[in-house]
Amino acid sequence: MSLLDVSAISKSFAGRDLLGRRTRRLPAVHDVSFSLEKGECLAVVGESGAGKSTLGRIVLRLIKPDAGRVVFDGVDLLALGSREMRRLRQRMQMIFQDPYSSLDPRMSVAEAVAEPLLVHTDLDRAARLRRGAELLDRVGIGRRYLDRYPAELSGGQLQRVAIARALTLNPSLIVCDEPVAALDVSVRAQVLNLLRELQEELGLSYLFVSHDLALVEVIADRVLVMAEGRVVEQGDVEQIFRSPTHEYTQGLLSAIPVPVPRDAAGRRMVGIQGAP
Amino acid sequence: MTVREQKAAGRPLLEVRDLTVQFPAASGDWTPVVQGVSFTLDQGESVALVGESGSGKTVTSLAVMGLTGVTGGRIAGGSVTFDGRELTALPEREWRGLRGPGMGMIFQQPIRSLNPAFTVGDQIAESVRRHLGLSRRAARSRAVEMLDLVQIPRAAERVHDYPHSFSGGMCQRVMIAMVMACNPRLLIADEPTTALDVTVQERILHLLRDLQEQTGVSLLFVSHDLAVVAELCQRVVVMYAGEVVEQGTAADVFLRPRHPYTAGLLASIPKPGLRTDRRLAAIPGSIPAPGSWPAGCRFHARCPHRDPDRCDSRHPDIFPTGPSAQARCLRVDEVELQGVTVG
Repeated sequence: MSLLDVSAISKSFAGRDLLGRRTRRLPAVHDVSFSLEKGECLAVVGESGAGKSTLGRIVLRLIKPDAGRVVFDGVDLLALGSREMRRLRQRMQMIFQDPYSSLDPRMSVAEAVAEPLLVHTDLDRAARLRRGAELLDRVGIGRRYLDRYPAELSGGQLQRVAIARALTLNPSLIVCDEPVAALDVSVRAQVLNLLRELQEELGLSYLFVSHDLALVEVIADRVLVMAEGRVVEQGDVEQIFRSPTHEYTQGLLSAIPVPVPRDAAGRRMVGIQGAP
Repeated sequence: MTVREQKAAGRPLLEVRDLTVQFPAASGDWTPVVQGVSFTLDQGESVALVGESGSGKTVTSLAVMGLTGVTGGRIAGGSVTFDGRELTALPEREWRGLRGPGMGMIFQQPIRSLNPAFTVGDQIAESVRRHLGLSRRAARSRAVEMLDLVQIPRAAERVHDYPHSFSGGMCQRVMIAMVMACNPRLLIADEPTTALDVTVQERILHLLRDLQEQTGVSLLFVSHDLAVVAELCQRVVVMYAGEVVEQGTAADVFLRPRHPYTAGLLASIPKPGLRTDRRLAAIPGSIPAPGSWPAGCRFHARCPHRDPDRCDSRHPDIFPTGPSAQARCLRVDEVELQGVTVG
């Protein structure tokens, strides 16, 4: 049985004009199906507006779909009451693109990481903070940062804190919504490597939403390509990169910038090994 | 050749020499954010200013635009000359004549740079009426012409639209149209594609290349992403912790980097089709903030080639490493660095 089974999901939003009057409904996700195995990373790629973030939120039932089924570890999420959903949500976490806005500026790093334990467990304050410190240490945030506030940390450090916070309740699934898009190139590689290590160590499954195919090739096992709310192609990462069948996927791949300068005639000075 | 072009022939369009910019720290003391930065940009050339957040690349470009004061900083030393004219002490009144027809700037968030209350046509027209003194009617047709130049379909209709009805990529085209409408000699683009999708980014980079061919405008392209820079720039200036650590032609910097930081940045870029052990080569640690730059080489704590006896204590000068290349590394002749992996 897959960890996550999504079948025939559709969702449209009410459109509004400038004056707030309802217009026709705008489809965001249309008839999307996929499954995610334990320990697997499935990347959802596409341009802005393709519906990939909406899909991530539907999986966590932060948005209810108009049609379709989401089954997590054998449980139909859409049939759950809110109390049961809250219990299950411990096992499904999310990491957002912008760590500056996903952490509470008035909460210290140690408190931010320990907070989910306050909501979901009976641990006392000392035990919660101990567990938080362990996790922060694991993601590379040292003890001297425990009492700092988000404004005192860099973007890369904040994203590490957000990752530690997502891990506090031992989740099985993490929806990563463009987790490194806001970071500098050198820090991006560190955070991506950390996500990969944690996945191997803890057997996590990732739904990795990204518009950056170059990163996806490093982290993903399988890729789901979306355009205008629909799945245009899905397959193993090797297949998608070596022999994409859909024109849209080919366009996304050829748009990846390659760090090889061009000569005066606009030709690449050298070919990259293994590049198509 | 016009007189101006003849005069310009022997010297660079833009010359930044030994520039130091300071900002007040939380304590109130002036702290250097950019220190001793020198580079040049020739007429028609495209030069990249590359670095991470905190490297000083944006502060440098704002100093060129004369926007240091309004952003809270001050130029504490050095000079910026544009077409032979010293800019660091230029009165604000003269700046108004220079921004627009001299140089223009586009930013990372195009939608925030446009006024939501006016049509894009009005905004372009306002810019050319103010800077070039065109009549209302001439300004209006200039706006259409410019939207056409930046390849916005149905330009004559779209001038009447408001910014909210344009996508991110289209807004960036409108910004480029607005800046290019004044026929500037230098276009400064600060991370113009960072907020955009890869496919849209590709189109904007194409557009900038086309515009350079058609108008001969020079480009100062500010970015943290070397892969994007390779698409567009002939020369590259790499900044780290407020100073230039390496510069040279694109071929120098990408194929034969001489500073370990540049080599590290190149290695950390995922290259399509080169998936290896599912890890990226990361540079450990993070860039030191202004005010906490370490003694010695500012990169030493993150450098795989560090020699503690020298690198931790001696601040390196920038050495020539080729006809037009320089690197700021004490071990520049001792270490072998790898450029972009080639086949």
